[in-house]
Amino acid sequence: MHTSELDPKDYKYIVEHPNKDFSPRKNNAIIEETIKEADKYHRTEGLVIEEALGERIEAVAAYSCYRFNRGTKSIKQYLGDKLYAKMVGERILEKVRVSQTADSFSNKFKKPILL
Amino acid sequence: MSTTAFALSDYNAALLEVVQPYIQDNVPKQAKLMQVIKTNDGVKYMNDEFIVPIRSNRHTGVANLNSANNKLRTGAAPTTRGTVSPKLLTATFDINDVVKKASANDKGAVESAMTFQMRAIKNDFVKSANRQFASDGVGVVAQVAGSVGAGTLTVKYPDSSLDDGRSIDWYGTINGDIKPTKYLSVGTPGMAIGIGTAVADVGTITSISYTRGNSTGTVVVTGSPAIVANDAVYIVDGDEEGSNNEIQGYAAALSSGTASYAGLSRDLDIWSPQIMGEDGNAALTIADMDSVYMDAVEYAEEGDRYAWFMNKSLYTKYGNLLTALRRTVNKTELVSGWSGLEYEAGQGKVGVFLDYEVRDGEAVLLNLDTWTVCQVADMSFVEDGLLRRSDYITFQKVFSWYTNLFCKCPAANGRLLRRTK
Repeated sequence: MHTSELDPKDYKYIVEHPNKDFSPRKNNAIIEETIKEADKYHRTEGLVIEEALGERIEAVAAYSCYRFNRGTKSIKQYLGDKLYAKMVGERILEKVRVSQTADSFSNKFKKPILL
Repeated sequence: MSTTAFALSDYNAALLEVVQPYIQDNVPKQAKLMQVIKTNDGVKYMNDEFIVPIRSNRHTGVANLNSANNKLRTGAAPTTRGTVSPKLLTATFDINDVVKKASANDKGAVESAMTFQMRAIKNDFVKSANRQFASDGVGVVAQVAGSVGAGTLTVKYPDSSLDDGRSIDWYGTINGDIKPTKYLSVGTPGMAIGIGTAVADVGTITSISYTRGNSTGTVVVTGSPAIVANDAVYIVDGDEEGSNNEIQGYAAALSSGTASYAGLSRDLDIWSPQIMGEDGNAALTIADMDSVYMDAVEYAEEGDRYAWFMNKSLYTKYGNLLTALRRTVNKTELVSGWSGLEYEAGQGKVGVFLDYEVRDGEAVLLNLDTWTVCQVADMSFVEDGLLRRSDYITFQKVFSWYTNLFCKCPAANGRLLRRTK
């Protein structure tokens, strides 16, 4: 886009003497880079749902498949003590967060302590 | 003349099918406004409604005395309440035992059908939530361009002729950033759509065709629903209902109309967003962006965070404008990984970000500190296990989120409408 294509309303923003770092090519490269990064961000599914929730969903899916393949272990045995405890802990923390938010809401909007 | 040599096609009955070893997810990328609001610590618990007390005006007891003997003017700071109710977002799939077992290991399928469905359902669910954050809550996803015959309709991106008067600020295709069939999908069973105001008629989609660059797409539905030009198209639930039950996103809070938002009249000064550009299409300019921004900032609190969101054409145009103005483009980040361009007029760190859900031809200015995601509980599967449907060898999984979005001060936000690239 050339300066001559600008809307007259924007003439006042034209920099008469651009600084020595100014480079249209460099600008375009940054614009392209941000588009690529935004694309990548939007494609990354795990960013949206809490990672812990995503992990629990994958674990439940994997365990369900295991059971349908005639697996007999309990979910605790299947996941192992450590992972099982971690998931249960996350679930409890999630409930605590919601309840804490509810408390703060009923107590004149005080900011909750984030766990 | 071709030879009669034994060819691959003569042996295809005996050939193994070579399938890509994973399932390609070709659904379009979506923006994640929710992530930004959540990162901003704006998630609150709600039950049957979410109420926000709002100071609606200046204190009326502020007055200078004309003389030392004059009577004082007593007054108060008026308050009011805004309220929204939860919307019930769900995503459901049924899977029968045979498919589940047949695809449960890599001998039978490249990926377990259930794992794929569960993964897909949570992805698409969030994409739907993101679309709704940008919507007005009415649920319009397309507009009928015309009927091609029984059960076949052409659809276009909604414009000002849309028959559902509750959904406004639509101006048709401006930059072609959102294809008219983007939010419709085919599957087994197919997506059901309501056609006409308040879902007057319903059909189930069996096929969709769209040629890149066209302003309309063609949709074939089962049944013979009444199809009239300018009918609104909605996504409906299992009871074939679906109008006005979506998240009241920023198109609701920042509407150019006079209808109330969150139960409060737009007459209230802080309830009127900064809107520009309803009168006609015009090129995006920095001057207009500055104008909307300065008007919105007047209503902001100290330290509030701002960001502009645009779809791909306007985002690129903004970058090109800076180059034409001989300004150096600088990169900034909204949340880790979501980068954009710095907005120079901003007080503090304000950025311009690419968001695929922003309506075609719009630049939306959000004061991130005025938005709250209110929810009954975090999004999750309704139950952790798999429940078999009585009388069938079929299991059902339901993913749900009972939520809504609330804007505490629409006046501190703004929209530039009908901007061209």
